[in-house]
Amino acid sequence: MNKPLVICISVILALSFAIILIVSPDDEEFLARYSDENYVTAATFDVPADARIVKIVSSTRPFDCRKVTTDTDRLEIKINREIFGDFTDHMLRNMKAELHASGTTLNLEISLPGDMWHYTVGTFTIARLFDYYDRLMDEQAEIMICAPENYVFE
Amino acid sequence: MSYRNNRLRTLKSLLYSYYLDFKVIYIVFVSIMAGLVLSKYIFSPAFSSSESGSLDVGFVNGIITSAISMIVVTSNMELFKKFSFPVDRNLLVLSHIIMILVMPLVMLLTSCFSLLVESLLAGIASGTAPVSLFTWAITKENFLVGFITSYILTVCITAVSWAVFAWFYRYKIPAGIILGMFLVALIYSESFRRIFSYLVGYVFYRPVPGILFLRLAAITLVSFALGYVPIKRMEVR
Repeated sequence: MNKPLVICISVILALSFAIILIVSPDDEEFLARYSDENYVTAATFDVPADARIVKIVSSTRPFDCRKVTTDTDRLEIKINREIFGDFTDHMLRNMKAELHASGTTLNLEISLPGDMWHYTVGTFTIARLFDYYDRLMDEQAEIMICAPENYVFE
Repeated sequence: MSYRNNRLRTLKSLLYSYYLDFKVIYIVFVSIMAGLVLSKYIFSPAFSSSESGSLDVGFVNGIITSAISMIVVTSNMELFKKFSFPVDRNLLVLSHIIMILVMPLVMLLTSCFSLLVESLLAGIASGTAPVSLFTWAITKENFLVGFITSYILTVCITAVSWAVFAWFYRYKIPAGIILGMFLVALIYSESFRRIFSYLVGYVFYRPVPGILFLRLAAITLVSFALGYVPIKRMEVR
């Protein structure tokens, strides 16, 4: 390996590191992207007021899903609108959601027509060793399911 | 002054010699990374439902490659190859330490490059897909913390591996017996396993980045000191 080639490789490697740093948002921007106001409601269901269990029966892959309980009296499926590409529009147009009651459990079935291309650029998993970054990385969710406060997710 | 210049020149030539050796290790590392990126295209067409693991793969690959390279670097044959006047034991250990510090950095930076290549390929593939979901889940802070932790952990494991094999090659029978006893105790003794897990857990238990880095740096320094002893005392034919 000659000297110019080594210098060239060193510059490319240093630039790779710098580019990742430059294009990445900081923590505040990342959290803002997944804050509650950035989700639009895609489907709502009236549910009984007494405490029950919500079970998501269909696989919600390829997207990540956050389950929360709020002071709403309905079950809501929300889609994040700050996502790169045409995911949000596609989901709002084509997502199918059905709710089936089975005893005290409500089975929520979410499905999508056809295949979806999906790719996540992830960071070092070892950062999850630290509580703060573990919680931060858990914030990433394309879909949020909101249930009344007296409901539990299974 | 001229003595110091001579030492610096010797260190430089020794490092160049290690740089030539490192090329082989680096090519192995890059081949594994390239193989993994390409296999995603072959086994998972158009990156459907895929996650980039370049950084994690680079980290694990770096630990394994660096640790294995220490087995080679500390062997008698390799050490004797480097001993030619005016190289002495101190310069040899210093060059090893520089190598242990630089090698993981180069490997982790390469995994950053691999991540960009993979993301670029995924970006091109997304253009051809009717519906796509492309998520950039890296933040400046978690990337920096992940990078530094990965670097320090790789250096630490490489340094431990260097110290263990520096002892093993010089004192094969005593070191072999101690290593054997350690492994047997780890496998068969519940209490020893508990103590060992406690010690490892102590390093990683509810860590704060700064404290974890200090703990790993301390283990690295102790390893450097331990590895220095057998090399300092070794006989050169």
